[in-house]
Amino acid sequence: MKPLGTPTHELINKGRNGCVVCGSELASDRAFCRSHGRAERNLRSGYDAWNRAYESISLENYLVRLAKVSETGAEVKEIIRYFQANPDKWKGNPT
Amino acid sequence: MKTLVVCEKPDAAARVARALDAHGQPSRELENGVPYFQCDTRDGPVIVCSALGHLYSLGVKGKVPRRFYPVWNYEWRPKHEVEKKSARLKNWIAAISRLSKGVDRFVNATDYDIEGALVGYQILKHACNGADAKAQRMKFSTMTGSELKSAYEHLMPHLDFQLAEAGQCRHELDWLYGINLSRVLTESVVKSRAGYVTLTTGRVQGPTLKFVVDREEEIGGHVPIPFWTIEASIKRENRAYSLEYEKDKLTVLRDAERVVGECTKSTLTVTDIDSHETRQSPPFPFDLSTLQSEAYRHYGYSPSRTLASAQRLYVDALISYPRTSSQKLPPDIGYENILRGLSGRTEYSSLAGQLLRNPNLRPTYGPKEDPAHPAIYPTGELPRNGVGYQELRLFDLIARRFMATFADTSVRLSSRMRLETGPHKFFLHGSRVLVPGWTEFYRPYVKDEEQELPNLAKGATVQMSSIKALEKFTEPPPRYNPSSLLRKMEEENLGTKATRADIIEVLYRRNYLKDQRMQPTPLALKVTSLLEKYCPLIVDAAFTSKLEGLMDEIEAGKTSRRTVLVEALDHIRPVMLDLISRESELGGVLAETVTAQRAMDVTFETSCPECGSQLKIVKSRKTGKRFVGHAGPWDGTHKCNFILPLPQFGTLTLLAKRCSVCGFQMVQAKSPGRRPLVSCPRCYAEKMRAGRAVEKRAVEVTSSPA
Repeated sequence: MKPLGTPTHELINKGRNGCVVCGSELASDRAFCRSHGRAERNLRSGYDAWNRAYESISLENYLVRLAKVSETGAEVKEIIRYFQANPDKWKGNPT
Repeated sequence: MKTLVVCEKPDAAARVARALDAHGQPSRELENGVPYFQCDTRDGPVIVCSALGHLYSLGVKGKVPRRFYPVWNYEWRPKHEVEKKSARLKNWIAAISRLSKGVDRFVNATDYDIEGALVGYQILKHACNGADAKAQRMKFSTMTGSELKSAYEHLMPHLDFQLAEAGQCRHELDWLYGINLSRVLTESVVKSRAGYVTLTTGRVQGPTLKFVVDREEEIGGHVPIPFWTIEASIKRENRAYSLEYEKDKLTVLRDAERVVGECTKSTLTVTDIDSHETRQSPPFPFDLSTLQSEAYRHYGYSPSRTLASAQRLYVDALISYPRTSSQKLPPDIGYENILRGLSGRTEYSSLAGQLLRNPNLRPTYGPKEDPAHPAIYPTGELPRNGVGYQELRLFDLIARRFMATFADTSVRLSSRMRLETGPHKFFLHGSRVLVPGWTEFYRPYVKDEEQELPNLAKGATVQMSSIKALEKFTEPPPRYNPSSLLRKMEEENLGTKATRADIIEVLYRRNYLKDQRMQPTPLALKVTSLLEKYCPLIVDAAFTSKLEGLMDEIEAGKTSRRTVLVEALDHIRPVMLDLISRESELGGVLAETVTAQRAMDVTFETSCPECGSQLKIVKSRKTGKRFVGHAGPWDGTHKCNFILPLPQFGTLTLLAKRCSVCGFQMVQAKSPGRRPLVSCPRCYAEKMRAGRAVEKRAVEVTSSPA
C-alpha cells in the first residue's frame, strides 16, 4: 500500500500535462480539466453579468468579492485563486 | 384433495392460513425447524408454507475462481449454494420439497408483483418438482381475511409466467452487469496493491450515482450573480405588514438604489383591492413514490425506511399492497366499509362520519396506473397494541390521505391590495379559508395558514415605515436528498418501485455518498468519471431506461427474455473487454483515490484545540476502543495528549456538519436496524466531565464529617 502523503500522479502532473489547477486529465484543447473548465467558462460569463449589475467592476474586485460569496462553487473558488496568482492568464487561453 | 399454498414470508403465511382455516385457527407445525400451517377447509386439508424472500439466486456456472471475470455463464441455483450467509435456506427448500409430496393442488400466494411472481415460480419449479406448470395463482391487494378468502375462492388458472420471466430477466441483467463491472473495478484496485475495497456499479447504480455527481459538478461550477430585492413594510394598528415590490428582483444596483431613494418616507395610497376565490382539489391517492416523498417531507423517513414500515403495515392487514404505482382507488375495494372501520378510531370518527353521510362517495384519482394493484389505502382494520411508533405515524398519513381523497375541494379567498407611490407599485397579500374541504381531513400534513390584510379602504393613505434594498446572489441547484433522488430515478425510468430505495442505500453503503443532502465522495467522482470515459453506456440513464422498457415488453408478452438478454450482452461484452485491457490504468487511478479517501474518512477537519495539529479516529492497540486523538503519539514525535471519546458501536462517519455549541465536527454512528446516532465528541466529553464533577461533589458532601 502506498504510504499517506505520497504525491499522487495528479499532483505530479499539475501544470505539466494535466489541469493547471488540480493536475487531472485535460478536457480537449483546454488548460483545465472538465470541471475546472466549466468553472472557468462560468467565471468569465459571470464577469459580464457582474459588470451589468454594478455597471462597472474591476476584474480584481470581481474575483475578491466572488471568492467571499458563500454560494460560489468550490471549483470556481480554485479557479479564482489561479487567476489571482496569474492575472495575465485571464486574457486568452491560460496555458 | 390436498393443497399446498406457497407464501413469500412466514408472517404472510400465518395470515393466509388464518383466513383459509374454517375455524380461523390453523395448527402451526415445524418441518425440520421450518414453520408451516395446516388448515381445515371444505375442500380438504391445506398446507400453507412460506419462503424467506428469494430461495434461488444466480451463480456462476461451472468451476470458476471466486473473483474471476468476465463471467457470462450463469445458472439459477439454491441461494444457500451461492451465498454463505444464506445457509439456513437449505432447510427451508428441503422442508418445502417434503411438504409438496402427495399434494394434488399447488397455489402460489406470494405478493402479486414481479418479485413475488419469480419467488413463487422458482419454488414451485425447483422445490416442488416442476409443479409450476399446473399451479394456480392467488391475486390479492390486501391481507384482510375477506380478501384472502375471496382470492382463494377465485384462483387464477395458472401462474403469471410473463411477470416471472420479466423478473428473471431483470435479475439476470443486473447480475451480468453488476458482477462483471464491479469485479473489474474491485480487482483493478487489489492488483494495484491498494488493499481490498469493494467497488460496485451496475445497470441502475451507475446512472443513479451520475445524477448526484452531475449535480455536484453544477454546484462546484456555480458562479452566483448578484440581484436585489426590495424589503419594505408599513405599520398599521401596531402591526407591521411586509410589502412586496412589483418586481421580485432587480438586476442592476442603481435601479434598486433609485427605488429605495424615491420611496423612503413616502406616502402610499391604496389604489386597488382585488379579491378572488381559489379552489384547490383534493390530493391524489398514494402510490409508493408519493408516499415515500410525503413521509420524507413530514417525518424525515428515508424511502427504504418508509417502504419497510409500509410492508409491515401491509402484512398486518392495515393497508393495501404498498409496491404500487397506481393513483386510483376502484369502487370494489369497498369505500364505505373502510371508512366505517376507520371511524372506530377516536381521531378519525368524526371525519369518517362526515364522509359516510355522502351517499355518492367518489375519490379523486391521479394519472398513474398499475395493472396489478390499486393505490395504497387503509383496509379499515385498526392498529392494535404492538404496532411500532413509526408504523403508526405512517398509518395516520395513509388514513388521512385516503379520507382527504373523498372530501370536497377547498376554497380560499385570496386578496391583493395595491399601494402606489409615484411610479412604484407595492402589494400586500392576504388569504382566508372559506371552505376547508379536504384540508380538514389531511391535517396536520397540509398548511392552511390565514393571512389578514390591514384595515385600509381604497383611496386611504399610509406612511412607508421602512424600505431597503437587499443584495442577494443566485443559488446553485440544491443537492439531492433520498426523496428527490428517488423521484429523479422514477422520472428517468430507472429501476422499479421495489428496488429504487435499496439502490440509494447501496450507494451510501459503498461509501459513494455522504450526508442526507447527498454529496458524492471523491471515490464516487473518480469511479463515475472513469466509467464515463471508458464505458459511457454504463452510466447513461437513457440506455438503462431502454432496457427497463424492454423488460416491460416481456411483462406484456411483446418480446422474450432471450431477445433482451442477447441485446444487452451485445453491449456489455465489448465494454468489458475494453475495461480489462485498461485494468492497470484503472487500478492506478482508483487506488490513489481509495487511499486518499481512507485517510480522509478518519481525519477530522477541525484541528486539535490544544496543539492545532490534525485529529484522527484512533484505535487503541491495548483495548481495541476507538477515540479522537493524534495518530502515533507513542513514537515520541508528538507530545499532545488531547483525546475525546467516540461511540464504540456502529460504523462511524465524519459529517460535514459542525456542532452548533462548540463548532467541532459532528460524528455519526450507524448500526444496522437502528437510527443513526449523531453527536459532537467534544460536547459529549464536556458533559461527561461535568457529570463526574457533580458525582464527585456529591461523594465529598456525603462523606464529609458533620
